[in-house]
Amino acid sequence: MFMPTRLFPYVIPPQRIRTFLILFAVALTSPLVGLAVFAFNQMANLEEREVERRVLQVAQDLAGDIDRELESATVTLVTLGTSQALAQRDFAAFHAQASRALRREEAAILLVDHSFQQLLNTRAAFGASLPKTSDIETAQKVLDTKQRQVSDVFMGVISRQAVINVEVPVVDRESVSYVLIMALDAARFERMLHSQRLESQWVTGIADNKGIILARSERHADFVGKPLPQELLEKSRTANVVFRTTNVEGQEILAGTVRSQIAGWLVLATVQLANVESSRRQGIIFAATMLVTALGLGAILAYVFATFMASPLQDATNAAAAVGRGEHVVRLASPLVEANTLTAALSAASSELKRRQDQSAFLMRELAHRSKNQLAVVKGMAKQTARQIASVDQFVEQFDQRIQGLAESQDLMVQQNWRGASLNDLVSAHLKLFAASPRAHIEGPPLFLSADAVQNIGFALHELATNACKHGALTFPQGRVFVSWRTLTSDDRVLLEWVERDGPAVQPLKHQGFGFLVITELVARALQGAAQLEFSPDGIRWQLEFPASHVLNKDDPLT
Amino acid sequence: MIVLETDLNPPKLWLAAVPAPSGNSPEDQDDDRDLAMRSLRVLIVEDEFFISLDIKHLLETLGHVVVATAVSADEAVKIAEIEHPDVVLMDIWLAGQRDGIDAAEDIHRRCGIGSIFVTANSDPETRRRAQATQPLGFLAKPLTAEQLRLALSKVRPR
Repeated sequence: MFMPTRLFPYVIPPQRIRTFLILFAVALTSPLVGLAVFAFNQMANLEEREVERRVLQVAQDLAGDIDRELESATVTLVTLGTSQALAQRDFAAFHAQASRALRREEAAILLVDHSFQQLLNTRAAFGASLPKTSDIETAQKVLDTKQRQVSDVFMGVISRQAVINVEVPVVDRESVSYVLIMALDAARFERMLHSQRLESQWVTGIADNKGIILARSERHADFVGKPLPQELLEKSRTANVVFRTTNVEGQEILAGTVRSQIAGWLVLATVQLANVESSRRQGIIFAATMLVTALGLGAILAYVFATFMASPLQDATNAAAAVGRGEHVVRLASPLVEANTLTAALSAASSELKRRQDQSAFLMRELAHRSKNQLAVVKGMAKQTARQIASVDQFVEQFDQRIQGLAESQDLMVQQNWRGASLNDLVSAHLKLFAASPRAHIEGPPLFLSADAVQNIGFALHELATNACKHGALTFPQGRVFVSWRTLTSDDRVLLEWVERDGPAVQPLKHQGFGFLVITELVARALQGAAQLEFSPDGIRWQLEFPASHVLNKDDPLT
Repeated sequence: MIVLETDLNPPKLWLAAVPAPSGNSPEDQDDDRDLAMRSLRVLIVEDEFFISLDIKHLLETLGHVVVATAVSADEAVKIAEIEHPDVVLMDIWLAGQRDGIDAAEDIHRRCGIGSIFVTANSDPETRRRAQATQPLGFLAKPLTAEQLRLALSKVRPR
């Protein structure tokens, strides 16, 4: 007996295949969805790092530009400081020299002495009356340190512009004789900021050491000279940092600050957080759309394939239920091999079931008919026997024998579901009933007779055997019986022969009883054949010829 | 010998087609008595000779004449056409290709002779088919003289 595999029989209550397919899909997709979300998050973080890196990079680039500008100014000043004209105190020549050196517009060169009095200023004509420098603090530092100094932003006295000074000492025999100054307009630095060509959401700026705005890429004029917000200033104390804060316009920004190596100014590169966030939000929306689309497509495909599985299985289940109800089931031609195999088996089973039901119904009908019919036969047999008999004892004996004969034929037919019996078995059975088998010679090809032929030939054989035992060959010990049959192919008939030998001398019957009628007339008529009885001196010879239509193919199905 | 009783109760095995007696009215009694006197020419169709001999004996006892005994449908039709019996006692289950219903139908169509079916047992389908030929009656095997007498009492000689 086939036992199915029991998989977690008590853990999982039985579910429909659709449920397991959904669980299967969820099990397959959820780790992937989790992975996708994680990967997207990582990408977003990387992108943010990239923005922060870029913010810092822009600030560093700007700081580099500023330092180069200041260095260039320093070089100009140092070169001028070694001028012959200056050494010879020829200020007029030096003014001219300085003016030539200064090809740029938003700058001026000043020379101040120890009392911070301007000795010359390229913005004014040589010889004009000049005030003291407005940036005494830086000039003092130059005198003290004998080093180059860069000022914070202040309002130029002559230019009336926000300016910064680059100041170098003019040294004459180990002591500082003058301070040479280059005043640079803050606007120069604004242009420098623009030279970076950044996208519109970027704002860059420069603030001096006091946190006063020196230049700004947006609304420069509005904010120059104004202090940076306190929070921004606080967070900028550490150099090379990126942080979130609020700018002077009150916007949330991501800011990167770098200090100028030369001036110590804060160089800021900022990008509005709103822009960073919106690009991040767009990324999220895009990724989510992709994910939902992929999941949707996957779900559609999963549904299609699940239907390929679940639908044939449902059909197979319905087919099984139909078999249970005793209906016929046709085999399935579905995309699922297992379901096809299953329904093919169910189809075969339903056909077999139907065949057995039909056979069973046929046998029941046959049995019901046969049993009633046999009663009628027995009744007729009793009456016919009684008519020929003088005493009750004789009747009982003959009737008993005939019933036995009928029972022999019937036994053989029951073994074959009432379809019939083999002629060989029939002859053997009837001879055996009279214990005549050892003295009988049976010969003939295998023939399977129909039920009515079995019954009728059985009657004849019974009467012949009875006669042989009472009056014929079998009354002598050496007497023998030869039973043979053959098919007469010429006209599709069968010839059955009963020949007796070595018995008593045969005399034609004086009194022809019922048995005689059976073997000579009744059986032959019932089979639509012909019978012949000869009384030869050696013994009787009986021949029965009947149509081969009474012979069946043993393997034919029931009809 | 069969004693003819005029006030018979219908036997239990009596099967429909012949209308059951409606009562003991004098009219019915006269009718029965009249019919009982008539001798019918009967064709027996039966492939079991023990049964056909029994039926033949019963018929002769009832005073009828058996014109022949046929063992197959074809033979029955052939004999009916020659002998023109008054009625056919037809076994349904016959040896051969065609059964008694086919033969009864044929005989009725060709000769206008009605049949009384004599059958051991029949499934509903066979019964429906037999009924469709409008038989003169149904008789169950084994037959009794009384059943046979009653069934034949409704048959008129041709």
